[in-house]
Amino acid sequence: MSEVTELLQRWNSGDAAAREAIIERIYGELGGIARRYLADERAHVDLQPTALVHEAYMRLIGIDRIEWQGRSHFLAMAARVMREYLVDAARRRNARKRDGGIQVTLAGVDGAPDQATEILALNEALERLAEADPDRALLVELRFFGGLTIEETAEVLDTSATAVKRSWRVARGWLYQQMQAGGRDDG
Amino acid sequence: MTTDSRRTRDALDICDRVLDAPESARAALIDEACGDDAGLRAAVHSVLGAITSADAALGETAADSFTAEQLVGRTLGGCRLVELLGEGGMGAVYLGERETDEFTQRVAVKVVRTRFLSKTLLERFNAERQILAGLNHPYIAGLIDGGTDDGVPYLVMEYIDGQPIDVALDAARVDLTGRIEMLRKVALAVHAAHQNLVVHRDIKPSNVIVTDDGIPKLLDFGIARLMRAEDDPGDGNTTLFGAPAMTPDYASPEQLLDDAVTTVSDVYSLGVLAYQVLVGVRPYQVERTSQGRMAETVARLAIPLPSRRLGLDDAQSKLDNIAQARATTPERLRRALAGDLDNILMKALAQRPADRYASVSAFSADLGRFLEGQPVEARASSLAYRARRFVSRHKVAVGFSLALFLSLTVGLVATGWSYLNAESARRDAARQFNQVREIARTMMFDVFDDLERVPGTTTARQRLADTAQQYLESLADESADPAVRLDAARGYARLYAVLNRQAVGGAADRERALDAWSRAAGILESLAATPDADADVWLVKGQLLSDRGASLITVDNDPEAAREFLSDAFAAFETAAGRGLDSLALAESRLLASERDAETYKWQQDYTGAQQAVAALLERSVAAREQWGDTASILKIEGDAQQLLGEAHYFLDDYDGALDAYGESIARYEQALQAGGDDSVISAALGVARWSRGNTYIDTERPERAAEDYAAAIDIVSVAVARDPADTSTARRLAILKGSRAMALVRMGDGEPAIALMLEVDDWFTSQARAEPDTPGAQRSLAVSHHMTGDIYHYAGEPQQACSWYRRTLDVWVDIEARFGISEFDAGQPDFVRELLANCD
Repeated sequence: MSEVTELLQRWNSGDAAAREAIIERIYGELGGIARRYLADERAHVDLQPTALVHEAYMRLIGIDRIEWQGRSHFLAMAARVMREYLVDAARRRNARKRDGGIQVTLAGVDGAPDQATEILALNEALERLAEADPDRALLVELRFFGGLTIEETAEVLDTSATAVKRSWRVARGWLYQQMQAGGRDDG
Repeated sequence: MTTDSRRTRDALDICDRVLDAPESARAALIDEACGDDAGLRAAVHSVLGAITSADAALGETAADSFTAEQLVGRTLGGCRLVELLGEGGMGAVYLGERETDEFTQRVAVKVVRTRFLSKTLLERFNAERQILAGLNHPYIAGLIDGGTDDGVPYLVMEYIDGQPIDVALDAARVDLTGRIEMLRKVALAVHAAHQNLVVHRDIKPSNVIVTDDGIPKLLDFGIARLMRAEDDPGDGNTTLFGAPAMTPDYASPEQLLDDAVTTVSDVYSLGVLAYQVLVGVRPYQVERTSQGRMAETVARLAIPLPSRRLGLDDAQSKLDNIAQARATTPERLRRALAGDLDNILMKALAQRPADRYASVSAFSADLGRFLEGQPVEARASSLAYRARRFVSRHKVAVGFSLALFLSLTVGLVATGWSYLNAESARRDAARQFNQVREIARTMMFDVFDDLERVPGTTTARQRLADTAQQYLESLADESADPAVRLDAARGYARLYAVLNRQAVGGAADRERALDAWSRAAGILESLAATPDADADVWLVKGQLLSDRGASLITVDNDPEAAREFLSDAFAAFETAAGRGLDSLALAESRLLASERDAETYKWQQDYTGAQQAVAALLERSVAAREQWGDTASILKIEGDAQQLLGEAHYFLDDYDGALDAYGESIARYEQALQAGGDDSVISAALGVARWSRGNTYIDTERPERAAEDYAAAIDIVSVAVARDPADTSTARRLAILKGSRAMALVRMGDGEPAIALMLEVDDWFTSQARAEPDTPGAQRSLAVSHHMTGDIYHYAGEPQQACSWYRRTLDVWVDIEARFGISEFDAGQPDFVRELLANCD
């Protein structure tokens, strides 16, 4: 049993310290990988979140091996960590860009204009959503940052796939509106 | 909760209910829910409008609203989905039926999930589909149709009824020849796709189906790419748990690391497939890849030679099954794989794309040559390849070679010669013979040992060897006394060792070395045949064989042959022991041979084998120390073995194990110094051990520890430099160590001292390069040093300075290129620096 699996089990049985330990681990892994990318590739890196996260998970744990309950927890937490990580990276990137220093692009596809800014805007909108409707904000976090499927999200939130789909579609509309409006519209 | 927040929440809840309701009932529902609250009503309408816009901008989410099972029975693009064949994070595959004019065609329909499929990506999907439609090949499952039906993107593929290639070949008990022929057909298909600029990206057994007629069909061409597109959505999302676009066990290192994927990545995956199909198991142990530390594992993939893979961790019954499925025995299978097939597969599986076959057809052609018994293109991994491997692993501090650096005063040379001359002068007829014998012994056993530690005495040693050989000839010829002849054999053996050490470059020297070896072997042969020969004969014979093994490893790069000699050496030691010899020399010789044996595995990159050999050695060593005490020489060998073990652990990604072993190694060397061992040689080894451990600390991101080890190594080497300031090779090692330390310091966040130290190092290399303006090596070192200085500035957060140093680096490379040409080893360097510079202002 891997250390992370063990931590997950401890968390399942109510050990709050275990949760912190896992978060720290995931964050550390993500940061470590990102740093290594930077170190190896030097100053011109396309820092792809997908690559980072795949690597982080593969390093931490064989995701399929976690039993289901542990997996749900893990996915939720990973989404949170990924969000924090991406937001941090986006902030750093914007800061550095202003300094004309190292460029870290959160590359998505061709022509994605400015992912870092988009991520920050999304993050802000999501914070506002959390004030109004924390459950829905969590759902978005899982889907957007955690990349969970509808089914996985339903599992984590202990609800039906249909409910997730509907709630997701509404949330996506609202966020889209917020981001289009530059975040000032209260919708 | 603020009023605004409450309103937002209410609006969103109402939207949930509206979306659930049929179109006709929606207006009434909004009326009822909002009542007189005009603000809420406006918010609801605003969000509903936004949902429509978002759906349009980000793509329909139609496929998301169906579960995979629900699609069964539906018709997509004229195909009725009959049965769900498989489902993954990215989509699902169905068995479909397609009505054509005359008959019903069975097809496979792939439905791509559109969760994050934006419009741009949809366009890309369609463009790729066009490329796939152009792929017509008998060994490729063709794309029949594809498109979007009601917002659901789908692909219609030829349906193949058969079994995955590994299962099919095993079931039919196809022998190696048949398997290679099948693999070449698969290669044809991959090659055809490459000609159409399509990279498969996910070659694995389940994507190579062999029909009942024995025809291979490659599935899912380019699908991975399509899937990948969904993986990189343009809207800031990230898909974590979709089916990966590749399969880690078969993916090339560059794929796993998300670097550029090319046709040569398919060469790698085809190599993994070939490995599995021929050997019966995959090259990697799954445990290691899934346990975590993926990227590091990837960067250090240690692929066992195919012929050694079997039995590495498998039960005999499994081996028997594998062999049976190939209509042979495990032993024969191993023999068939050894040599050419080993080399071919290892070349396809080279870590660096540039080291692989340049194309799938080149890979296939080599397999063809093997079948026809012609010489294959692939060779056992060359020294250059290994050097590159070493460099890529130890980016920080290259060049501190494993060779021991030597120190003793130059005075000994003079002493040695004057002694010789004095002896010659006092020679007289009556005492000539004994003196000659004495001189030969002295020269071979003492003066050589001393000279070896004196830097820059190569020529002197050479001349000494010439003279010694003349004496040895007279000894071997003139005396029938076995003790004298044994001395002569020892002398030749030593001469062999000495000549060999300096023969790395010259063929003539190697011939002379081999000649000395043969003479020694001849003398020992005849001595062994005498009735009551001394047990020492076998000791010397064992040493001679062991030395030959050592040079076969390092000079001839032939570890297999080395192992044969070493095994003969063990047999000779065994005979010596059987004849009652029980000496420290025998114990040490045995240990030394064991150490060399372990070395052969390392040389073949069989680190597991090396670990086992070291374990055996340590067991023996414990026994030897019990009997003979902690002698310096035994401790030294143990230190060497631990160092080797450290390296093996390191390459197997067991950093903790590596650190432990290096620690043990350091402890042994320190004990050996205490026990009065040769100060300079052991100190040198100690320096290497400290340096290796420092590198491992760097790799495990513990720069503080690394800096300590480097500092200790610097102290040791500084002593040697102080002893002989003229010795540039030692000074160079010192510079490299200081550079390593600078890197450690900057990683610790101590930018300033790191920069100061590195500038000192760069000064040294600059002065060397100025002193030898026309020596390519010195210029190359300068480029490397400039580059590292740039890196140190980069890590210290001074990008401007870093750029300026990278510019200087490029200038040097350009100069080297113009004046000397760039070696294959450094071929990528100038462009790499240019890439770095592209990022500078």
